[in-house]
Amino acid sequence: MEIADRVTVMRAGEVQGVSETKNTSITELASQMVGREVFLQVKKDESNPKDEILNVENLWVHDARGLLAVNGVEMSIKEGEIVGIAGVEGNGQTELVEALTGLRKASRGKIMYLGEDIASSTPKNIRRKKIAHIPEDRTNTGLNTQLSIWENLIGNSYFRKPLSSKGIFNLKKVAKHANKLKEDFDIRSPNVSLKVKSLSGGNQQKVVVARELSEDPTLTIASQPTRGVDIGNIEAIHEQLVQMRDEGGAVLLVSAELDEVMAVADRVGVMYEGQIVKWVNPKEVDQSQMGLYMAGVTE
Amino acid sequence: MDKFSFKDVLVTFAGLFITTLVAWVLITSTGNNPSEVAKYLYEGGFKGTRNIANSLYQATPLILTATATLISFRVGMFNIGINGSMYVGALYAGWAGYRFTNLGHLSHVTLCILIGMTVGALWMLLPALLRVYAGVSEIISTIILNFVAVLFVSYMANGPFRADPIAPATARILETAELKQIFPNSQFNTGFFIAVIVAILAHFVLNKTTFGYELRSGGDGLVGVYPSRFSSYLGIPSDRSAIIGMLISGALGGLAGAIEVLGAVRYFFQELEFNQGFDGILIGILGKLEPIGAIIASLFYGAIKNGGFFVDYKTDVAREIIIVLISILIFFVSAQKIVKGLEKYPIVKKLDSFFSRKKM
Repeated sequence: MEIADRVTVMRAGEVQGVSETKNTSITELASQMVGREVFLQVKKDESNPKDEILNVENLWVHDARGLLAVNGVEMSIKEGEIVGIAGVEGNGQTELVEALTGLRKASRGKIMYLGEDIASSTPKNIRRKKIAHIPEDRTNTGLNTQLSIWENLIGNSYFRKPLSSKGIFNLKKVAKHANKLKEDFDIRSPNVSLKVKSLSGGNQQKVVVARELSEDPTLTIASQPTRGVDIGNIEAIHEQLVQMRDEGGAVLLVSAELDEVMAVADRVGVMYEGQIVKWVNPKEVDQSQMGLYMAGVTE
Repeated sequence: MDKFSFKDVLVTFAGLFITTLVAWVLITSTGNNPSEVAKYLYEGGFKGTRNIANSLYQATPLILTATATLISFRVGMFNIGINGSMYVGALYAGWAGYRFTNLGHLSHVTLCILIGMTVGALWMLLPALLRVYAGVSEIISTIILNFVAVLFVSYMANGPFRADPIAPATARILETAELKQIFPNSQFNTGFFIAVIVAILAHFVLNKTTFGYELRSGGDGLVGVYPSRFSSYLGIPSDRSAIIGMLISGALGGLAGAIEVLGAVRYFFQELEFNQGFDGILIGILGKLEPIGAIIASLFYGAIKNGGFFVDYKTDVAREIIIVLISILIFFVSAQKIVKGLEKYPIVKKLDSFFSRKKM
């Protein structure tokens, strides 16, 4: 939109339309891309927060190089709300999410989840407590692209009945489970036996989202959930996050896309240099104000 | 679910065809008659009970080494040290074969096999631990350990375990430790059935159990990718998977060696030479890293290996020609681009969709 003079929109191998950039709008192009009206403004009711699910107290985390990445994050998430974390990438968001999900040890502080400190817990135990994690890195962390779609889809449920019993898979039930997720989350593939690497980026992300939301999580931690995903699927993923909230789940949404955080979250914390410098109501601030917060200017 | 498609079959046959052409040229250029070689190759591999039995005997250790290799590959570890496990497994199974007396047939054989497998597994413990706790590439350490194994067993056969005053060899195993040979004039023995059962068991564990799923969650085709972020993200300890995968792999290598000594050679001697550990890598790849594929590929390889001995005996062509042919075959079978080229023909597409109906 900023560089080109003319834009051609292609969908499913066909040209949908050619327009001069000055005569068109993002909404119009977006609707051409998906073939229908797109709601960049996410449709959702007022949030109705209830009991506290997660309470982070004075959390300190060091990154892979041993440098301090998170220093003193305080945060609370209640059931029935989506809490967003906005910020320029590299301000500690990655390490914060890794600490919350057990992939990185916290150096100091408490992560109270339903009254229990999970700061030194393992990813396995955290998962068993119904915390889902959509990681920012899809190809290496969220998926093993060498495995088939069904093998990726059962990563958080393979050990339970009816998918397996006494360590042996019930492959019929597994197929049923995988095919249901494929339908529910609209994963476009002729069957679930194909390797994930044969899917497009958007469909790969849908495999991750389908798996993570399938086990009825109490807390969903979504990090860059729509990165590299086409616009129609972005909408679908946002709707699914809002649906998790409406069903009484708590959602933490970390994204470098300011539009995304502002549209989806009910409450937004701005992260700067390892701290949450400002909590805002996304309806009450404008983008330029947020830009200042993200640069560390809070006065 | 079904990992073998018509395309794979097509590729294998295309590879066989091209290999035959190359072989024809090679054999003709060395002044031999290719049709004569082909005839002896066939006769040596498949004609008569004795040749068939010998072909199956050749396939026995290959089934195990190929399965051993593919298990480590699917766990994400590039293990090329199965030959080492095979040597130490053979040595200690042979030692147990004469060392323990007054045992029944079944209990003695079982004991020898378990000792061979344990030693084979322990042989892989060092590279596994070095990889997990010190970051040493398992490729390097397993290559080195292959040499160490050869020197170690030859020292043991020449020193502590030496029983024969004339030749560096251990004592012969007791009759109670023997895996029975079934056909006269053939070293084919009941170890063949053990190998097939173990490979089928490996197929079951890898593909149908949650344990197998955990083992291969971080790898499965991506070789040398340990440690996998995907596994740790799911809460599956990839360190444990890597170590267990290497131990199973080594145990199967040890079993291959144990069967050779208990079923065919009956004692361990310094000049005993194994290379099935290396052949197993090629066969594992030829069998698409599936144990069932490994069985089929091993039967094929065993037959032409035995045919190769026959060719060597009957003609001027050296049996090393077989290794050249197999290498060419694997080269073409792994050339995936050839299939892509064939895909444009409608008949190939139709047959492929017909044969891959069984998918989930």
